[in-house]
Amino acid sequence: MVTRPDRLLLDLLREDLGLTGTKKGCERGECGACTVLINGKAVVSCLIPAFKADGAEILTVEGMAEGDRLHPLQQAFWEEGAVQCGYCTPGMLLSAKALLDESAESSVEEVKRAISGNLCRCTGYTKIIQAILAASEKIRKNGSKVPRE
Amino acid sequence: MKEPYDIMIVGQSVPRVDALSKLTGNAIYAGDISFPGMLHLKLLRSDRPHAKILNIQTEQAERHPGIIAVLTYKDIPVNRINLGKPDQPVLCDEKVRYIGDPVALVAAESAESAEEALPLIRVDYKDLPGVFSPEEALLPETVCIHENDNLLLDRTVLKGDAEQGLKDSEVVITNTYRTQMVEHAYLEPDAGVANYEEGRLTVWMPSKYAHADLRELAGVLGLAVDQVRVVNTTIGGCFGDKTSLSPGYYAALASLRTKKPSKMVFSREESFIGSRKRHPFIIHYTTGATREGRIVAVKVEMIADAGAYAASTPGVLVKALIHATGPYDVPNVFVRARSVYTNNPVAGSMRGLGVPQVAAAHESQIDILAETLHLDPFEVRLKNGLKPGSFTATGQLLRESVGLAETITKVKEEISRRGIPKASGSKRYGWGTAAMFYGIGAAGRPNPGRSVIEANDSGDFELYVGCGDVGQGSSTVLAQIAAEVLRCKTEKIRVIVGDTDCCPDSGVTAASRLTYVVGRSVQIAAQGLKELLQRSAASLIEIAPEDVRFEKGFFYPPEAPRRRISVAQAVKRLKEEGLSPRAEGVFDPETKALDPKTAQGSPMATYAFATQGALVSVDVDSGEVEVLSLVACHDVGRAVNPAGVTGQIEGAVSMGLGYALMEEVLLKNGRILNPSFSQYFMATSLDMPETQSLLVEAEEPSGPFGAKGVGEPALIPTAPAILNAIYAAIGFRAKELPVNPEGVWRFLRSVPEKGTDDPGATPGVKGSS
Repeated sequence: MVTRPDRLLLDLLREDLGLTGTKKGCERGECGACTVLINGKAVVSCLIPAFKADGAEILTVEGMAEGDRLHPLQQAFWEEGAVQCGYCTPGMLLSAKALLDESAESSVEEVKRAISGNLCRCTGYTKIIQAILAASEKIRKNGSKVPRE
Repeated sequence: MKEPYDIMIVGQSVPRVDALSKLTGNAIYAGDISFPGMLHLKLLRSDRPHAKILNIQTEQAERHPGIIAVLTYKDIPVNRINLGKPDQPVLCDEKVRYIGDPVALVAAESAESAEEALPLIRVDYKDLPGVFSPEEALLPETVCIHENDNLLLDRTVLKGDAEQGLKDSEVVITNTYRTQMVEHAYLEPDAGVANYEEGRLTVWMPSKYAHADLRELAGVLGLAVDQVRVVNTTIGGCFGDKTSLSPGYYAALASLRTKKPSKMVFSREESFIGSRKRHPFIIHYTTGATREGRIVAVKVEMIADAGAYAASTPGVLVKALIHATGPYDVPNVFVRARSVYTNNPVAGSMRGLGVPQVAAAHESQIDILAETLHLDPFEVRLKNGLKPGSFTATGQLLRESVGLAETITKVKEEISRRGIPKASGSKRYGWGTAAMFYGIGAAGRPNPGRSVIEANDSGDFELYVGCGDVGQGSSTVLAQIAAEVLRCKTEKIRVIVGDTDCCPDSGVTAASRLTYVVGRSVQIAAQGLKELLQRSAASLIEIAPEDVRFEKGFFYPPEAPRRRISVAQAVKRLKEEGLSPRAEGVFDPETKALDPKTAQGSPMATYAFATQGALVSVDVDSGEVEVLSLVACHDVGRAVNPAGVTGQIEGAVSMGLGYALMEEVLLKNGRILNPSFSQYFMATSLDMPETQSLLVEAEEPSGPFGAKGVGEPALIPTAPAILNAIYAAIGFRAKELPVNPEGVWRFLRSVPEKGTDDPGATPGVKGSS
């Protein structure tokens, strides 16, 4: 697709592609709600010009589940009660996924650090951290590549 | 009411009904909605705190490319909102009263065009003196922000004789506390979309009270109520705000005037500037007690800064007023609470409605009392704590569901079990505790909850409620209550929320009232529907309705379970009889209005109680405070969804931690100095303590399955528990929120020995040395 040089990735995803699962919370890279994965790395899409992602693999929350099968992180967030208002949830999921894709043996401290750029005003992070650790354990048990429910 | 069956769904941590859509990116928030040809809106806001508007010229902006309309007060038929105290314009007419007051609305083909047109609007002002201090606002020579003086509200609680009580007291403790302005900081910026089509206006917005927004919108726009429909979108956090004059109002105005779909989304900075805030309070507090630690009298005088407009100040002030003595049985009470207009940002309702402010004061006072008398702070709280048979400061007799003592005891046991870490290096440790009570629902006025439930042809149920789920999980709790009565899984209940065309007016999502008030109405509605279906099934089985059993979607005679009738069959039969498989439930808690002079009365039908304990470490070199552990024990009546309750507690702990240690909207002459997340500090995942939630279930007989509420109560004790923990650790008694490292450091420099000596003169909760 063709886009303007000043078009931000977040706006391209939300407005041009209709992928509104990625959330806009501050437009200054301060809240993490717009986190997506570019070639597996978690980035805040509100600070990235869209053209910089040309040719890259971009994962948004819409791409996490495979059909009806939730990603283990989504499943764990659901089961642990890690979702409240839901606005930080897509960004949280993707920050967590970047961590678990790198290593499914993360400690509590590593999990906290991985989501420290994602603000949440509802949950106090406690159940989010529990969910990420639970998903991590499930992924470890099932092997890193076939963890789907 | 006692249920004639085993409770199965209530009390289970059922996954949230809305989690799946939120986890897959399918949940629709207002900012996610778009229409072809939609207009984008921007507000021109006042850049000065207090000024007369002499003239507004919009012509140049109107000629700018892409601009469809520039609207001002002249385009608004009734330019005042707030049905209780109509003092706030939708777009300013005679005056601007705070930095950020909306003056003109630009509707454009793109957000960029709208932004470009803002500086082309010319407003001529005549500046007026600004009023930024609530104390100054009360002086007779100060300029009036509205027509009369700056006193918005002045209420008192009078019980017994406080002056005499203080004279009779053996120990009297007086202190002044100051609390700060706080931002709600929900992650979803305020947004709204509207479309005017065929004479009817539909507004999509994250509303916590769609029916009230509809009435207010119709009022200002000069439309009949049936010409407006408000549809609630997924709410990305609210914490008391996202009410009145939200972007949905401006989208509605623009769509009505341009006949085009219109959308407005606040930037984060605009959300800081344009949304309402937690009231800063100044609280002068005097406590009188006997040598044994029995409180004899309390005298409180407080002033709340309402900012430029009344908004929800009356509700906040009254809650602060009637909770000012804390969860204690005090025979002699004088409380005076005033709120004043200033040219600061508008204050509104925020989680706890004035009670977190007064709790910071009364929980510091009771700790100081314990310390002064060398008593255990838990024992002093227990000695004075409300229990069944006690009277509150408003003279209300508490009969049942008063679990305070148990919460105090449980926290004390847990803290004692854990002990205090030994001081090491520059770190000092201390546990602090705080208790609270909180009345569920609106104070001393009717606040009915309504709900409607219907059975459909396939035997599932649709539950209609007007009150939005702000993220706290009310829709799930309400579905569980319906499922419990209708003996089915929660998945069988589809919850339809906040669409004024099909949902009843359930009242506002506020004051922790949803589980108790609306939940009870759901229980009543579901019971009504069950009886309807049961009668219909009984006629099919040909036995008396009272002889029919109902489980898992089937009605049957107990002696012949195979002669069963499904819900779907019962629905079919009802319809054949010309009846509708539908029932309504209404519940309005029994209250007695407050006397206007003495505030005596029974303002709320039930109260939640809680005690929390906080363990902090203080670095005596840097002044940094870290909250390491938080033990939170809450009497919720009955936990309908325990994971939901602990989720509320954990979230409240992060907000309470911010209230105690980091959050503050910094103002200079009415201007917010830190309107962004990089300047306004909130707790991140790295700041959160280990949190242990303990539940007490002192059932409330009038609540659904005994439930009360927890949303706001969870927040209230956290900050004072942290303040008391800081004292236990280093002997620093903070009386101003938030406590920042600099303040702690200055204290430690002023009394260096306090940082190293054992300051823990208080038995029970000692600091480490």
